[in-house]
Amino acid sequence: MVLRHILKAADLPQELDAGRFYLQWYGIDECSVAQHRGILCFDGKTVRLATDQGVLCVLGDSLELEALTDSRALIKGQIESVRIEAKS
Amino acid sequence: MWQFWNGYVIIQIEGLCAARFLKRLADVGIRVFHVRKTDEAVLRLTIPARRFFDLRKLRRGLPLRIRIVGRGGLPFALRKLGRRPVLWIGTCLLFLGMLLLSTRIWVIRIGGTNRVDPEEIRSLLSERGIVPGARIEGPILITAANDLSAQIHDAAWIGLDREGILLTVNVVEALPESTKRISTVPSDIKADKDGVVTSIRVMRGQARVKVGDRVKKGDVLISGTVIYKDSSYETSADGTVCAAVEYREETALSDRITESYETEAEAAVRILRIWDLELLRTKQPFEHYRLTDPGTVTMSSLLPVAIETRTAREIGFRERALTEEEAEQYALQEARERAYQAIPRDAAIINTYGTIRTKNGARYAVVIVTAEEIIGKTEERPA
Repeated sequence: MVLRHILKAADLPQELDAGRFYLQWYGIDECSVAQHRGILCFDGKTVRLATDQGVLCVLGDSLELEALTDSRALIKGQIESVRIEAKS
Repeated sequence: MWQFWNGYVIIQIEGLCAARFLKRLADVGIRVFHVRKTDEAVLRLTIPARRFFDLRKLRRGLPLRIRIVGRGGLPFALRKLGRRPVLWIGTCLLFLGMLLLSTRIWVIRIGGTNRVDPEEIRSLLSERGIVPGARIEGPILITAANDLSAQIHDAAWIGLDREGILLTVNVVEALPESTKRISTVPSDIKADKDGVVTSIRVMRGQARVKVGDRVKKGDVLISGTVIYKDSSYETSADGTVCAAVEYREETALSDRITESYETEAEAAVRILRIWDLELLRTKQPFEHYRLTDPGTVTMSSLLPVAIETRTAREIGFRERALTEEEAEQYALQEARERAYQAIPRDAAIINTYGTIRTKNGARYAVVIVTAEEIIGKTEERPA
């Protein structure tokens, strides 16, 4: 939380806050999730990624993980919705 | 691209806990690409080839089955090629050969020659070791160019220019001998044909004929002896004498003629062409035939090859009786053609006359063509 305030005050990119995931969209059929904490489920219709804020759930059809590393995931396919299951 | 350079393995994971396995891969820093579900509980993905052997350790405790379904990239391609040493050696030898051959001259192109014989240049070059396949350095070319210029009489300048394997010989020819040098040997200009003088131009010497004179072969037209008042001197005669020369041809009249005609027979002829060059042609269907045009052309979409199909119509020959008028026309035409063939190329035809005459009971077509041409020929006097 402190880091977030510092970044805001210094007008620095929020991506530097390693504690928060961020989502980037490339059109309607591709998105990239950075700073996730690992994959929980992948079955072609659902991609569930663990984050510090909860579980990010990408729903759609013919989904593919174009690339997957320990902190980034690039998802392609017919993305229909993105849901966040926040930590209670 | 990076996957290609480093090599990659496409694996298939069969099991219900594939996501956990993916997480393990990501956690140990193995980058995973193109993950897709191919069947129920079956994932297919691409990983870097060098990390493949880490998978055995990572799948411990997970009920998974891992299968390699493909591999690719530069390391695998090189390994595949490594099993074919002959190919490598051949490629290396080819490049080495090209490298060596490119240091030599393989083509000699001679340009600018009209009077100079290119074969003479080739022969002189070969005397200096400049032949296809020879290794030539710059200074040798300069020396050879100077030598050639000095040795070839009709060349004013010769330049040798090398570009890679091509040696270009540029020749600038000297002016013709007669226009630049005055002979000191006394000579006359004599007629080399019978005719009537139509023009005379004396550059040196003294005219012995005038326009309108009838001259015979061997007559002196321009004399090398110049008489002035009571004295005379001798020189090399120079000038141009033109005369009207008659060319006479006779052809006996014939009452029959052989002429060609198209029979009804036809056959297809196929011609294989690459660009416009004819490579192959199907067997000749007739001894004499004419191809109809245009034919149908089938082009190849990949190669510059075309197959042309044309119809060959047979040509036959038959004899036919001629009428008197036709016989005269054919005989006159033949005599005229023969007369034209006898006329030099630089002559100008000024009159053509044709008639039918009877000699010893036989009839002949007589054609007389009058042409204006240069008849003077320089003849040196004996010493």
